[in-house]
Amino acid sequence: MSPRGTGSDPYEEAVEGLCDHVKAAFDGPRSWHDRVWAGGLAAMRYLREDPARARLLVAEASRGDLDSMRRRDEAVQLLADLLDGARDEHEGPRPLSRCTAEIAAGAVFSTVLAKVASGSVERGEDFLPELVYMATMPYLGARAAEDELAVQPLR
Amino acid sequence: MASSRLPAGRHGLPREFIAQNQRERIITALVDTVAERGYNATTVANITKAASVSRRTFYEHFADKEACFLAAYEMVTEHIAAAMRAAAESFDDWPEKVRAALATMLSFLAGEPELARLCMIEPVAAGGEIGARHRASMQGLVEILKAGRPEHGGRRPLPEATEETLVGGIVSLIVREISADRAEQLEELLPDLIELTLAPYIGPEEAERLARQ
Repeated sequence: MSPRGTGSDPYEEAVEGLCDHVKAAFDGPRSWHDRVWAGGLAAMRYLREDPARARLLVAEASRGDLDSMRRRDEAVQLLADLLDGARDEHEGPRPLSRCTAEIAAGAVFSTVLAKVASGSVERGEDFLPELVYMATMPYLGARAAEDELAVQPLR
Repeated sequence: MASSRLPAGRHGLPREFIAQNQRERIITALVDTVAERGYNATTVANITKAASVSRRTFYEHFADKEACFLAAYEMVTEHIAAAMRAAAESFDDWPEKVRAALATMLSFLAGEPELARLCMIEPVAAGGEIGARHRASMQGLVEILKAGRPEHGGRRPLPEATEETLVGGIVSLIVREISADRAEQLEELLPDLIELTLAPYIGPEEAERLARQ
């Protein structure tokens, strides 16, 4: 599910561009784990290459009216779709639900917004391991996901 | 919230009681009006009309609409925080405390959809001082989770932003449900929220067990 804009709204274009970059990086024959990393790196690069566009995304996503929340939710749902693809690979004591992917996606999305808002997006790769840890933890398990924290992403 | 109007005419009530009653009536009117129109579309005139008070009376109690909203917001969030603290204090173990606190919060929000909107959605729309106060209020959840760091038995320290990230996920899902008019079903989220929130600290097996309790 990708938010589709009219082409005339800078915010719609920014969200659409972000979603397209993440999805393009995520798609491919690699493992789900590697695709999560690829999607995360693509998001960080997209946000960093145009700080004004990144700030626009944050401002609009934080506006709080119904339209803004709908569009924010569309982005979170796209991310949840990508994460939820690993549900079948999960070998935990009970099956995971869609809700798990939505919480993880919301956690990642809200953290990215907070980082952009605080001007930290320039160092996006520095906090990417934490985001990947949070995104993969429900699927890989908390202990296995800790390995993500030691990864040094390429810039 | 039911409004309680004073009887007209000479009622002989002490001035402090009248002032308190008027203040509560104005706050009640703000809650009702914001639920109907949203914060940004609500005016002081809407509030005074719903409260049946004059604009002069409104400004005797509040500097502006924002101050009135903050009074309502703090009344509600302090009530929720006190209930969460009381629920958590019934348990000795940190994971049980977290479970009790989250269950209490979801139960309140599910039982009071208008107040849920007031304290979870409108502050984001309002921004400014209200938005800042909301972020500070959410920090209370962060502190509850941080108290669980000694429980963590992993090979690496938890990332510094773990709690902020987890609270971001919790709030994101709650806001989504409220904005989709599904506040009444919020308690159904508890098992998934508990499992994901506790897993980094106590491991997936124990988190899953507590989630299914």
